[in-house]
Amino acid sequence: MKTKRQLILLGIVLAAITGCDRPEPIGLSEASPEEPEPVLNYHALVIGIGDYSGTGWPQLGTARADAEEIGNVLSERYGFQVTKLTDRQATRGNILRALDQLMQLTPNDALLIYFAGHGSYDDSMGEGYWIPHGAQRSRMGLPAKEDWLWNSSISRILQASPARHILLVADTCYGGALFRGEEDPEKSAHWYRRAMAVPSRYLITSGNLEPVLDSGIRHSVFAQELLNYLQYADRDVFSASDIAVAIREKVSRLTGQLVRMGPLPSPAHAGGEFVFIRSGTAFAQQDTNPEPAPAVAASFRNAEPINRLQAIADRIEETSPLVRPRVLACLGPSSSNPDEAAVVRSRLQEALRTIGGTVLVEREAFDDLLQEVELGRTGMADRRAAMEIGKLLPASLILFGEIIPFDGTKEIQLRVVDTETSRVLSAVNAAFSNREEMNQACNSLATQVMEAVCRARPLVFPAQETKDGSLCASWGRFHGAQIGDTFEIITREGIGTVAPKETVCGTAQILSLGEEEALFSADWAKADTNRTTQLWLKATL
Amino acid sequence: MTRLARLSLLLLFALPGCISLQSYQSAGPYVLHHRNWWNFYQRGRLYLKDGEFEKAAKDFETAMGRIPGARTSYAQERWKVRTYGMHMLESYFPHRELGICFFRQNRLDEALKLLETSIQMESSARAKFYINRIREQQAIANAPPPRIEPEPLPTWTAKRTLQLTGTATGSNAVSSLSVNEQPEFIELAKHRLHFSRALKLKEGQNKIQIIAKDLSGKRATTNLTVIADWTPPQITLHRQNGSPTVTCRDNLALGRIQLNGQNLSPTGKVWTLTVSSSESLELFAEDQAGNQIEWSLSQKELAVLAQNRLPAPPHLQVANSGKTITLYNPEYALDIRAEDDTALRSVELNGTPLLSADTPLFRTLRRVQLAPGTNRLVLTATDSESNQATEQVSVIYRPPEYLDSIYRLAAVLPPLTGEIPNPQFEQQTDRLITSELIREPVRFYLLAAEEETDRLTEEQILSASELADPRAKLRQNHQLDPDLRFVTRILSDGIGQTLYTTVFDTVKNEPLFIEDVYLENVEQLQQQIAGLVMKIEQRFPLIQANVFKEKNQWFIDAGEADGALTGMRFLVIRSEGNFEQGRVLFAGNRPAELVISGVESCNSCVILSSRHPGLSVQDGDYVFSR
Repeated sequence: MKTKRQLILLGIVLAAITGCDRPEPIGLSEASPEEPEPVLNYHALVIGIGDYSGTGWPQLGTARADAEEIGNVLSERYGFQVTKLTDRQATRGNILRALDQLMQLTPNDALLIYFAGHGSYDDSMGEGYWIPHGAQRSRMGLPAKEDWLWNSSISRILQASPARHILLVADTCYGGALFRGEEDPEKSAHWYRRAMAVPSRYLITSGNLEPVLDSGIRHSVFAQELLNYLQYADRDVFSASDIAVAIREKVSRLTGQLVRMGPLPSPAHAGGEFVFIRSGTAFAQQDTNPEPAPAVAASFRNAEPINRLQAIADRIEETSPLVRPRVLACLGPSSSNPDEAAVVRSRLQEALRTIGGTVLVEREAFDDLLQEVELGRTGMADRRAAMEIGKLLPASLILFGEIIPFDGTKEIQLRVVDTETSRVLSAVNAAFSNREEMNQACNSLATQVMEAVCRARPLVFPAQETKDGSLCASWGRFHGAQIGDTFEIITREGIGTVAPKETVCGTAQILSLGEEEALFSADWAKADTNRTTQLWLKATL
Repeated sequence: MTRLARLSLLLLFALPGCISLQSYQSAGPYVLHHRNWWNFYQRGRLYLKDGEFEKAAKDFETAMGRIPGARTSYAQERWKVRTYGMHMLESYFPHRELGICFFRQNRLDEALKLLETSIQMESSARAKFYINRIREQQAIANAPPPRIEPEPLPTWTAKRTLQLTGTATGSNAVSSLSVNEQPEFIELAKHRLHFSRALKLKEGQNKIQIIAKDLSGKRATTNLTVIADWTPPQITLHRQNGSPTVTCRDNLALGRIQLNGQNLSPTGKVWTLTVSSSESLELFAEDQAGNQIEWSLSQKELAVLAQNRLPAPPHLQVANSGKTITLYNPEYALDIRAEDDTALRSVELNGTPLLSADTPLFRTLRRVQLAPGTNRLVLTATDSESNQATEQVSVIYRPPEYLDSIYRLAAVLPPLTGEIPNPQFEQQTDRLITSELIREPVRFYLLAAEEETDRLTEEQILSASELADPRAKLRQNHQLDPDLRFVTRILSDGIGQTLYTTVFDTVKNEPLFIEDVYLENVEQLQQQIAGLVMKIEQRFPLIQANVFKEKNQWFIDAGEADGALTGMRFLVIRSEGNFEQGRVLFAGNRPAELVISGVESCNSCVILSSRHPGLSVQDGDYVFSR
């Protein structure tokens, strides 16, 4: 089996980091912005294990090549001191020794750890593992955990390292979506200097708690995109989040994996970020002409206190089952004239996107996709091919319909069906005889459809008040949210009943967006609630 | 078995059911190889389509045994009838079809008799349609136009909807009636037609036009006017030259005023009276629509108001201010009293002005229409010096749980079948039936069509696979099983179409009843389908009743007179307060059901169909139709 199973459960690492004894965080208190910061020294520990022969683990085709190439680029183009551990070198003992070296680093060091190899996860213990070279998969019918690297051990080492920045890059999956604030496309030199000055513990990973794809001819898709960025980025100074944002869409399109990024909930993270500087670039790491510091909550979210980040992470875990996106598949309208049907579908989707509140998904190649699912069940499918199809959103709503000639005009007839209950939520129609009327008909139908959807499937999710009076909630780009979307702030009683009692306290509007998080400006009568009352946000059309 | 033997067997079974007719394209001659009643009936229908009325009539008469020729005969109208073995014939209406032949041959009296016989045996819209056609031709040319006699409506009303009822009569039967251009669904013209319509009113003058037409085309029109007023009068108090002046004002017209026990009859919208500040004041005002307001001011309060005092912010009193109230009906009466030392410049409810004149005292009762959920009612009073006072009431309108559409019977619409004239007709019919069924308030919980469920299943398969993003996984096993199946078929006779819907109970897998409509003009499709859905919905009346026990049996106090039928299914509702506040009882994850096992005139015997540990019906429980 060619598929590479890399299951590095760094979420567990994070949990362990927060759970263990820790030194005082190295924060701004040690390096006042007024004092010049020493220049950072960059280090990289690059681990790539593809050779698992004789261990019971499948071979990995590209892991070693990925690690070597990334090590070369970091060394040659960014001046990193690179330690490579590939295949036979990457034994348990060697990896632990290399990690132990991290203790020798100083607050003037920045460390990047790249890992490509197998991982495993124990549900019952909530523990994740890196699988080093030579580690057996099982012994006497039981997982050979004594050979593996326990995340809790790794986390202690990372926690103790005095390095100012540590960036983990894992061509693997990552569970526990951590909050990442809105990416600012126009980061200034000041922003990078400030990010470099403040300690960080940051993670970029290629997916969720799922096996990921070892596809690509020489490198995995994730590694290839990472290399492309490091080699051909059109700027000389960029941050870890810039990389993640840049490669996220491509990787997702090609593999369906979601590239995730976020600060680790470690006390050593104080809101900074790992910044890459291309060798030979004249970039003053000290700010000679500091700009006024931007508002913390709005444009430098990572500088929020550690406990706050942890609280957000905890809450996401706590509430995520409740917050599912409303996913709409437009299967209609169909017509005897396929070109016309395609235009109408496109206009309808445009109108639906403008209204917002749903994630629209394509179902063009759905039959092929289901064949893959069926093949997957039989065990005959090439797992890599299945993963190429991607991580898909099942549609909770389906739009069916037809365009039929009627009474000298054409009529668009639409029906929206709830996939979970089979209920027909809406049946609407509108006639048109020319292009302009068609556009109007599509807009009107989209509004009618969404009104029916909102009545039948209201969007309600929990929200938390922030210190500055804003609200935040686990609702982000993934859910189809857009900046400016408005919501009612409500309190609820009788949740789970057919008619929960809802009290409207005010309105909220999305200010900034993360992948699964959003910050809302809030205008509400706090007198209506008390501090222990759970607030909810309800989408308005 | 040899090929020959197999062929012989096939012919043996196939031939008795075979009409053995030549192509319908060429009009006859249609040769019968068998002489059973159904062979004659089917050939008669083909002749009728071809316009060969005489031949068709002969075949129908033969099928019924009125004239000899058939080996066997059958003279009973049926939507579905068994011919031989397990073979069924759809829509067997020989009396009706013979009546139509006679109508085409201008033998109207005979035709009418046959069609009426047909309806008595089995009602069908096609028979009614042709009875109307015959009556049209038999209409008395010099008969007077129809007469419309609506039940008297009040000139003034404080209601938001009004039930308009009445009768339209005519020597020539009344064939159509519309109220404000909305037609009533009338299948069979009647000499005396009762009508009833719920009219949604707007505040102010509402014009109602009723138009009735008889079969001769004569029409009658009646115009009615109802003034709807749901804004009670306002009372304000002014200070003029030191003497307080009370003003009572209504948005439309004042009806009655009672001042300190004395009845007065004001005219117009405004009534004023200068009062002595040494007397107390008891004022009651009612407008023409019956909206009322009361106000009392003590002698001391009046005396204080008469004096000039230091300016201060207005004093605003709103009943239940600062509270959150839960209501189960969609209207709330907001009791408002505002007072200022100088003069109130405005009193606003959610930004809408209530006060139209400067006054130091203002009193009104505002009836607010509520939306489901929380309604924030914010009152702001502003005085002439721009001082403001604000009060707020939150009113939660909670529609009763049992009215939620999730509790209605789940229905599914299989694709149309039968003699479909063209694909457009099929799609229009499908779309119109769906639209009518999901029009609010819905009577049925309509589920996706069978051909669409494949797609839904595919999404569920995807959701359960590892390709699905776990954050968007669909909930499994939430799909409802249909309780009813509405199977609609189209029968075409060359001129018109019969749409008939068989309603199946999917649990027992047996047909409950058939409803149909007939049209010869496709422009009537929408109206006819609205009528078809209405006829189906009328078979499932929404009944609310109380549960009681007698002789160890459970009963509900609704019977035949209320439209109750054996097999009707009810939700069980338990409440410690009003019926509207009650909660639906559940048997596991499904609502508990009481099913009628026997109907009397006023009561029905019911049994609990949902078996679940700990579930039992109690005296005092309510029921509401599923």
